[in-house]
Amino acid sequence: MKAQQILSAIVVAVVLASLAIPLGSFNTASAQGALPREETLYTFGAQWGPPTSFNPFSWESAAGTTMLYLPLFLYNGYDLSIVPLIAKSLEWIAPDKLRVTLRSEARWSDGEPITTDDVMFAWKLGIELGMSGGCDIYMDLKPVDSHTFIVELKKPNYYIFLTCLLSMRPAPKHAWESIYREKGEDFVSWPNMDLKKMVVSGPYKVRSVSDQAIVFERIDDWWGKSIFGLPKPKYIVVLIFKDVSSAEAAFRAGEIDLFNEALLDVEALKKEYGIGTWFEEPPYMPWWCIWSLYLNNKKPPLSDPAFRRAIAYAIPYDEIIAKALRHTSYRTPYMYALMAPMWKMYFHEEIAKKVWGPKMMPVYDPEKAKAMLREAGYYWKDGKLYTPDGKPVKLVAEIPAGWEDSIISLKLIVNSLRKNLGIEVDFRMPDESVWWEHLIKGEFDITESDTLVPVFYPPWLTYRAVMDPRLVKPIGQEAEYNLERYENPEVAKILDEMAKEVYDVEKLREYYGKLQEIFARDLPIIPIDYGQAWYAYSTKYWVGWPNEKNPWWYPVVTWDMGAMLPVFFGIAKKGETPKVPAWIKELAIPLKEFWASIPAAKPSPTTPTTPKVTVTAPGKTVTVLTTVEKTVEKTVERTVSTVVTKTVEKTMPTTVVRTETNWGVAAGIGIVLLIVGIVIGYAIKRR
Amino acid sequence: MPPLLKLDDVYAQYITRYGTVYAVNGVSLEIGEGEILGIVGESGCGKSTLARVMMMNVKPPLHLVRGRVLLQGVELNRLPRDRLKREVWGKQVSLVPQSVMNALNPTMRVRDIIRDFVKVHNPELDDDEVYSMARDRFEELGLDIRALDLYPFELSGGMRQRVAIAIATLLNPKLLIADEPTSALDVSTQKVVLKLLKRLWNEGIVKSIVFITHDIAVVRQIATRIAVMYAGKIVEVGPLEEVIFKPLHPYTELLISSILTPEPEVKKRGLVEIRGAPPDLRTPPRGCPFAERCPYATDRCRREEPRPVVIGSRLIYCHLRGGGAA
Amino acid sequence: MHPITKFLLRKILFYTATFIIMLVITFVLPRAIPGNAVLMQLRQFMRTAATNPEAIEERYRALLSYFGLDKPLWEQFVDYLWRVAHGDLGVSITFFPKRVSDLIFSSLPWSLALLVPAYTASWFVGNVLGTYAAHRRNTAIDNALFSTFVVLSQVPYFIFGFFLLATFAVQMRIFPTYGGWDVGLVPSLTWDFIRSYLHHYALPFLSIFLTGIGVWGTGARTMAIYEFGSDYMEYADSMGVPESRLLRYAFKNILVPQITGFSMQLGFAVGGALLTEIVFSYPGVGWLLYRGTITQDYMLIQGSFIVVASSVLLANFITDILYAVIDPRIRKGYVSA
Repeated sequence: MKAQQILSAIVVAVVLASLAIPLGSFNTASAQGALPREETLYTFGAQWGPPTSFNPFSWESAAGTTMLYLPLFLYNGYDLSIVPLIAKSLEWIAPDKLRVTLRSEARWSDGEPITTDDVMFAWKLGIELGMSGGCDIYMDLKPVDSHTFIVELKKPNYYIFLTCLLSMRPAPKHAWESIYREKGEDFVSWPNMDLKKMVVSGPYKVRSVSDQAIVFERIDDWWGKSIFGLPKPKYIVVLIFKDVSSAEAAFRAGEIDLFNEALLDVEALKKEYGIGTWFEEPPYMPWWCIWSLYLNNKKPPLSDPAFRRAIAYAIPYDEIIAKALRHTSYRTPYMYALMAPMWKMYFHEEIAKKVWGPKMMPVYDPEKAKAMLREAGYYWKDGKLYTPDGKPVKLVAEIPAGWEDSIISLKLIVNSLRKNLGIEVDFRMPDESVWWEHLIKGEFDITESDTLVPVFYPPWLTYRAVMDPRLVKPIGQEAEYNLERYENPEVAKILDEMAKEVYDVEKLREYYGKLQEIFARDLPIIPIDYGQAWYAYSTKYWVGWPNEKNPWWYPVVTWDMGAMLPVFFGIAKKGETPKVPAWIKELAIPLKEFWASIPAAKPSPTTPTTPKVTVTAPGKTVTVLTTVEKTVEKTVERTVSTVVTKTVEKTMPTTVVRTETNWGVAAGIGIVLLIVGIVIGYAIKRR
Repeated sequence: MPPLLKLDDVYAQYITRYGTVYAVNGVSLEIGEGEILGIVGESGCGKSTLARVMMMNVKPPLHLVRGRVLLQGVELNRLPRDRLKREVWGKQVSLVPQSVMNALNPTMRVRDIIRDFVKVHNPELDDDEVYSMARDRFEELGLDIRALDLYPFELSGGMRQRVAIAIATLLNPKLLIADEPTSALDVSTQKVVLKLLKRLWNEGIVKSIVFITHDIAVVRQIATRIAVMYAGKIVEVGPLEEVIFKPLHPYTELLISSILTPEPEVKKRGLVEIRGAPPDLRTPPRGCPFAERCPYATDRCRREEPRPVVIGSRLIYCHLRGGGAA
Repeated sequence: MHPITKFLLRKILFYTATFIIMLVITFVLPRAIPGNAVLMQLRQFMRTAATNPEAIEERYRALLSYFGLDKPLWEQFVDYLWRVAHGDLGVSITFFPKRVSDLIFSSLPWSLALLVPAYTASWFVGNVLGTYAAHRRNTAIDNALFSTFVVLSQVPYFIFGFFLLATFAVQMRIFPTYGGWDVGLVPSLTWDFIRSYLHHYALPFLSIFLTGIGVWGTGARTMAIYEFGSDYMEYADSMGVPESRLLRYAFKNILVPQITGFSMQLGFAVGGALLTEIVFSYPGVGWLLYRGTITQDYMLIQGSFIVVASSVLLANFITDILYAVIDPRIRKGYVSA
């Protein structure tokens, strides 16, 4: 009996001790109190999983990193304007030279000024680490003085230039250079999580970080206070939930103020809990991208434009929006020009009417679809559809398991194809990773996906992502864009031309018209609805949120809290009157003006840069841009190959260092278990 | 001197929602001090139920529907169960279990089983006193005291039975009820166990023993008196030798002739002679229960229940012996 | 050699072999399923930050080479064994640049702190109540207990969790709706934090504890009914052993099979932990494993499986020893065999 008593004692002790494990596993940090609710903004949707780093040059960085390291400019996707943040002004001094001046007030949180050096440092770091976003192919930076530098276009592509410009954010050279020197290319794995040493440029600093939340605290003497004022919430908490429904429960309980994830029943939430959304009525949510039916353009009969166009009439659009999307999205004619309504100045009604009829977009009309197929030479035998050359039409439709909305949506389409057109369709639900591999390798028939490029960016980017023939990769090889593999050399020419002539609004409109017509004619993918950006807010603690009636900011870039920053300046505590910060309008440079100010002279298209590396193993890297000049090819190859070789070497030493610590933990656990084992063994023996 | 235990017209039934089993039907029996009563009968005749009733270990679905159970004049059937447990069972009336293979808790050492048992009745004793008491008794009975430190599964079948008997008699109960204590044992072990029981009785550790078995050969080796049971009733009671050598009830006669004959072929024939099966106790027959199988049965036997007839020191329930006249 | 030493040695040998097999499986399995770890990471990049195809291609190559996935499989395997032997579980792909060991060791304590007490308590209470119900078989108490057990064990786990959440957190607002502690606090040994920790602990604990009681209670009741009907119980009863002690006999004798159940249940506990974590957004290792699996993060899958499997093996090892302590039949069997 005694041994059993000892044993029970051990069990009880282990149980109690385990209860205290989390307590013991922390260093005894200085106590911090709970956050005052009315001073705190809780948000959900930006971060899934434990925050891993606040290093903007890491492959994964935690939500809010872009708010800690401010960009030079913000982009307002509703007004289509640029808002200088750390930058003060922009000035074209030549068609391919843009002078950027930094604010003299700008300071790092440790008091050091933000200078051209920091911009250059970030630029070079990006190139070295392969984190430049490909921008070094298109432009180059030339410092002028401590607060001025010049951006030079290497390629005459103002669209890519714009995205690169918007992605520029200075990095604190004085704090990071030594770390970079020490780590080299392994800098990508530096977490920048030492909260005491963290040097930031934004109005918030990280107060605490854990697997369940990132807590930001306002820097009350932030350098931009005199220009921008201060953001209203003293604290911003990015909550990390493991499941959307649990988060929704918290949202209902008023514990979340800003919700950027899928909501099950928006209507009920609005009615019962007074939740606010972008639109007051359906579709409630703002536009994010264009959700489309992807058809593999390389596989017959999907390679036949007539076949694709017929399918466009066999999609039960209204049913999808009602049943699959519960009216959180809708359709517009702009979608069939790969645009959202803010770009309607480039939309050609007459083309839309010519192609689609008075509604300017395809409607659900199975009879029409059948007639179109018949006309194209397809026929039916025993209710089954056959191609003109006598093969039965068989398709595989796939969508990731667990994507409830898309599963319903694709099922509705598949049912219609089966029932109305007599197409044999095999419906599959693989894991997301498998589906994704099929999609980018072109090993699919039909599926649904978004267009990968946000619609508030110039439609040129979407057109390129969907239709640029140079981005087509052979079946079986991973493609970046043009996943449906649509090839039309004409598109390449138009894309290149218009990227050079952004300042000529009339011409631009003409180009967009051409693209719109080609897209509508060939329909490489079939837009179904707008992929929505989930944006819902509670007015329980914070009021004055931007929405369609009062669109002072377009708050849709959920993971990019830097892009959300103006929102935090414009809302107000409940009971106070919200005031939209004047600077949002005053500082804004409309995109149109920005383009128009490019000196009228045609930009000299090629400022030939001397190729730095001339040789790489031929055939090793697949050429990305086949029709562009040779220099580009080589640059691409160079970057790629250096990254490959160097990272391999760099990973080894760090692993060795880490091993030792882990050994210690393992040994410790081992010893503890050993002792437990011995005690138990002893107990047995005693009996 | 009053009998040690007296059953007075006892009826016990298993009452379930699927029907009632009339297991003991009007049994009256006396067990005097200093005797070993063997109760013999085929399986399913209610012997084990009778053993339960003797201790008043009666719990649903078993019910005592009529009759009294008197232990030295005390009506056990009026005592609540917890009082029986505390004051009677194990202390005054003790039981040697039927299937000794599983009758001892498999996860306890013999000494711990003993400790629990003894302390129920003698809470004032401490563990060591109990152990030494057990040791003494084991030695006295010639059992290996090392068995005390073992678990039941470590003991042989015979040893386990002897240990069980030693435990049952540890508190010197007046009456020991042994329910088929030897049926699972081989012949040589049977002998050892019977010897042990006899020894306990001889040495006066127990005053009386009720020995329940289906095996007349076994009961012959130990009993002083014998009661023959059939279909929930006693059909004949009397001193051992008399009943065995001069059975008066046809059933007893058949039972003995079938078993006591040494030649195996006769034995076989003997078994055949009892035609048919014992009656279903869910629907006990009217009249004499043995009438269906009795070669001498008359209409009266099938109609009327025989009353007890006293012939010398014996008691017989049979119309042929004048059971109807009384 | 002492029989106990022999027994221990044999067990250790067995578990070591199992561990090695497990190592091979954890390497092979994630790679055997279709899909590719890096592609999912790339997808994240493409959907959020990328606007240029060049950048995506560049990132893809870099990822492959950083994680050594461009090397031949055998080389990767040798690499993997070498690292495991050094206690290095590598860097997570999905949660780059966190080290897998850091991820696990920062979340495992939470899982342990929740699961160990909750499972142990539910096991204990479930068995006690189950035995008691069996003892009072067919009475009102038994009926009440048994139906409660059945309901608790049959309600789908997450529904029960959501029920608790909706009732006590959202409606009544007694408990917080999410997390392991108040997000404003920094984990530390202060009264505020401990109070917040326990406050957040209640619902996840209850959800595991109550459903566990159902599962263990039903099992214990069935087994105890059998025990109460057994000969030794009958005999002890007729020897005057009081009810309370009989209850203890039954309880003790159902412990052995129930401990088997407990150790087998441990593997499933990870799944249960995942659901608790998801419903209550409670910190823990289950979700990590889940994310790792759906994003095909080889490193994370390998790492977490090694840790989980090791702890299950370890728990089984301890149970084997516990057996020997509680059930003499087994102990003696081992020793004499």
